[in-house]
Amino acid sequence: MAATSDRKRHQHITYAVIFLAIVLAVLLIFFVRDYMRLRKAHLIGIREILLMTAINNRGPVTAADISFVSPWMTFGYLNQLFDLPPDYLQSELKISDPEYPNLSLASYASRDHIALAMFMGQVTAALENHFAPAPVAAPTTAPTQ
Amino acid sequence: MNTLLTPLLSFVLLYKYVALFLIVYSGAIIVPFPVNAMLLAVGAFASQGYFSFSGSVAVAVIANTLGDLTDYASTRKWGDWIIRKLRINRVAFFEHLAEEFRTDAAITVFMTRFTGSMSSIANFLAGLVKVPLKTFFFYDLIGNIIEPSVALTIGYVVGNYWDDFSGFFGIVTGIVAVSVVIFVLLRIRRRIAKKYS
Repeated sequence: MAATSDRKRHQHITYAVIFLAIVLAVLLIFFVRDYMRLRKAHLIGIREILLMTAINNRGPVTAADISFVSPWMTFGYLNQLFDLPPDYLQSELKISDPEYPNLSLASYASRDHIALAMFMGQVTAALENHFAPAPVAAPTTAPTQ
Repeated sequence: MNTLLTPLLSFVLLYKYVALFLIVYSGAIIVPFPVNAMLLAVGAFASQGYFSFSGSVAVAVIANTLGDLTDYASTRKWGDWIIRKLRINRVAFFEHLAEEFRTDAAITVFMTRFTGSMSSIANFLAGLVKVPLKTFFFYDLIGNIIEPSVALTIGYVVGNYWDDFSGFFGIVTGIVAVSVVIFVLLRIRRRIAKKYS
């Protein structure tokens, strides 16, 4: 009796699995058909291209990125990140430490006993200066005679 | 930001791949460094051209695998002596845990690669219960290729915003860790029930 009910249950499970497999196969066919249709319409390709462009053609850092500057960053990293001349920060901040640029902003401030917040302000100002548009020279008018 | 992370980031910016190797290796052994957050940052550095992406992946995978192998080798060599000294072998739970680990070594080693600091415990256990070196190395390597690559890729894609994702990454790691612990405990419970039924 128990063996018969077990066999019946087993049969039901088998039917259920076969049914699910058929449903999955049908869904897969629809999925592939839709995918091919989207590919043909260049919808999937466009997304891939846009994503790759966003990743590969990241624009150079700008003044908007100055807010990311943190005390753990080194001068060397900032020089490369913002594409600064190697001695730009050194001269702007009057740094005489021989370890420049292999020094973090935090450790320089602590070595020179400068308040970190104040020093970070100076660094930010120096970077903003670098990105500030060059002042436009006033047009010179020829003296009228 | 994690207070431990900031000096590590300066260290990585200064000594690049050597620092990356040392931090990942130490983290793999057992030192609780925020390695995943650091890998997100390194991915962002790679997107800015300060690191090579493929170089960072290679260094992270090698360091992670070597760290795991160090754990495994140390308990494989001295594990029995430690067990005898601490008398852990008399604890029934340890026996079941060891049996569980031996039976499902591959899946356990692989899954624990994604559980942060818990992976070190799994490495020690793997050496202790003498999981075959080939099995351990293979599944450890596969997990170690996937895990740091994911962290570095996310860092690379999100760039300067990597720090916003470090918390999310920690939560995911935590969820995986808890899931693995529950999975192992349920298996042990089922094994005990089977044994006494």
